[in-house]
Amino acid sequence: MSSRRPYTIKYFLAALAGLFMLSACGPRVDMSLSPEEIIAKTSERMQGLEGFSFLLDSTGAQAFLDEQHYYEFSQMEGDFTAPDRLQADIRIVTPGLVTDVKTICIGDQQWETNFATGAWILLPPNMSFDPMLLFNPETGVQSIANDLTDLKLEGLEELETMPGQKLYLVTGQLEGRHLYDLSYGMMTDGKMTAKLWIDPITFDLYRMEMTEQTGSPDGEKVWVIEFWNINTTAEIQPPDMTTEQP
Amino acid sequence: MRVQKKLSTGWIIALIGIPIFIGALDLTVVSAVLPHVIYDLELPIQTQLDKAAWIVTGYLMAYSIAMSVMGHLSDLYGRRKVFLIALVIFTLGSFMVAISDTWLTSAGLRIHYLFSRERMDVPTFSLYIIIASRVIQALGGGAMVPVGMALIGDIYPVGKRSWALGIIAAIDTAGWVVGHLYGGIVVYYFNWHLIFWLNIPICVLAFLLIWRALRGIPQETNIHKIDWVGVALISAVLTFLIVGIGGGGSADVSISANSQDKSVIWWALVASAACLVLTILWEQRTRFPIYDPALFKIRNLLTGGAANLFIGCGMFIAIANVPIYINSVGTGTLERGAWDSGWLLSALTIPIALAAIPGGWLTQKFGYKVPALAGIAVAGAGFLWMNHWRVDTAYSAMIPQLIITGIGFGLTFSPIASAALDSAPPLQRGTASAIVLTLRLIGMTVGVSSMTIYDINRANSIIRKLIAANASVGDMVRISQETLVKVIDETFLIAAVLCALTFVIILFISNRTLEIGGGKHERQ
Repeated sequence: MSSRRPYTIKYFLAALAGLFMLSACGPRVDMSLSPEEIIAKTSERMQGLEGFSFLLDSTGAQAFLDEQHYYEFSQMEGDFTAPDRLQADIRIVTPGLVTDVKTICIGDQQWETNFATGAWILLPPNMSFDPMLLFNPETGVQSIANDLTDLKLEGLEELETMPGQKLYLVTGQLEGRHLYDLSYGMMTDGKMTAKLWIDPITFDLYRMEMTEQTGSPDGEKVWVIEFWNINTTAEIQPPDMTTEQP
Repeated sequence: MRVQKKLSTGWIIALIGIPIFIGALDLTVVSAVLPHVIYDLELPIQTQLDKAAWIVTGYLMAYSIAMSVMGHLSDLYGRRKVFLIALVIFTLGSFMVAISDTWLTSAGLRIHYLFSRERMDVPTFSLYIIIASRVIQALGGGAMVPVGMALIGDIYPVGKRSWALGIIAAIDTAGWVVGHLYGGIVVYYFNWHLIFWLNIPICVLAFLLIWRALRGIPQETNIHKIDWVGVALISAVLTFLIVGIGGGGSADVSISANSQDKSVIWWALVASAACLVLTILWEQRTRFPIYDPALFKIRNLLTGGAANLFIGCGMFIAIANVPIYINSVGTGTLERGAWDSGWLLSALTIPIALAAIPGGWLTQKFGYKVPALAGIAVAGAGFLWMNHWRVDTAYSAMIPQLIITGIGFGLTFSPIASAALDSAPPLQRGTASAIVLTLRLIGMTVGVSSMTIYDINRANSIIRKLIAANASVGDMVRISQETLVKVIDETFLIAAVLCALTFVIILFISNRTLEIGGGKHERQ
């Protein structure tokens, strides 16, 4: 048995060396790019995508969808297909109740399910929060480069949702006025600190975290937008108005 | 077996009573916790209510399985060892529930993303973790009751056993009857996590004390092969049964009730029946059955089990309908409704727990039959009295009715448990107590589910008629309140009929017992 051990160690070392060589063959991360260049490339990449899935999540201080502060926004998850189709579930919290409202946006039209019955209704223009504005390739979060200042490349970091994949971490200041309009007033019109996690090879934006200081006792409000299924499209059709949704 | 002189049996009851109380408390504490969990995790009612109901159903299911299996294991490996293992499992489960939506969720998500890039909805993932943690908690909590009762059977002589079992029954009952009130208070002033954090130091202390105190007790064991097939089959019977009857309630309450949900319920019930047949066939053939078929020939065990099934069902008709009544007649706010329900239910539940003690004393004096018959008759009379509730009935009028009903149920606990345990061979007392307790738990589940379905279906049908008749909003509120109270009155009448059936079953309990080989067997 003991005579076999040196061979075992040799094989192990050879396998280890092989693994190192394999990893060396992978794409090299270019750390010479400035954060401005990274953001510009990211913006260009995101604007050109055919589609993606997204999650917009709000934590910390409350964000409300109405002036009476009855409907609190919790999160929105869905799919975007370029140039102008989007479907999402918007999670709303009211006193004592949490519910999901479905929405479909195609061009200028937006449908939404009724809060209580689940029946689809076609909304009049500008009646409520329109997620299509937020993800419009020309004016939405994809064109974020114009609003970011004081950019800094912090280094490479992994996201817990993508273990083993190193991403650029870029931080900066975000002018909120643009997002304030897009988010139906949920986000601040002041300054926010922003963190972006970007694929160093493809310049896909995987996560954007925006923190705004509020005067509320709940402290700061944190917005996180996550992207996945990047450059894939979902089939998004107008809802069947004859059936009631669960 | 007799306790060594240096050990106080009263101390032992107190020590094993603490974890039994907490385990039972956590059975019903969830009625106060569940709405807060749903709200805190921001789970939408349309898609997640059915899943969230598994926080209740999962606990009930694991509790029943542990009750039916761990009593048998304690017959094989000794009460102390199995009781302490159960206590450790319960404490671990409590800790897991306390950290379920924070550390455990983070750790679980990290593990998930190591193997899959599929996106996971974090609130839903947290909910799964909570359900899994509750199941672990219940596997420990459910085991402690039958093992504790069997332990009492070991250390007390026949003449004094009923009194001691009455105490344990009272402690167990006190736990699950005050659970909703305790949960409501903790959640109102603090948060739901604290309920589970508080379990940990108490259980650790109880573990150390029990570990030391029970060292002096001779542990008679009967080591042979464990009937794992039997364990699996009985677990399957209980799982499918509770999915069927428990799912019935949640499916109907949820907005998404549809024919598919109903078919799942029926399939679960059919699967449960099929597994029951397989269990019976297997237990008759295997050499070391988990439930010795001979046990089911013992009249007192059979009648005691059947009586407990109906008692559990009747008791939970009252426990489920009092909060429905309070909330339907309108108390202003949800918080006020929960508060009123808690206190009003105490008029039923505290007498249940307290009356279990004189129930034991009466059993020693008059035998099993007299206190059990008297108790169930009193409970039935209480239900008949409750059958006259109206929308404007004052709480002060309800309280004496609830007290009478509670006293009646409490009086039945000890004589029925004693009749079952005294009739079982000493080495099968754990199994015997498990059978009796599991049947009561199943009765409770049936009571809650069937009456919830009954109430909701009746109320829905009334609301549909009102909408069709274009009734005004004011009329709809008034008529729906009156009709719902009428429906609740009907369920109390059904409960009175169940009490009458239980009375007949108890008539078949035999007062006579026979000492055989150091234990007591029923004279056939």
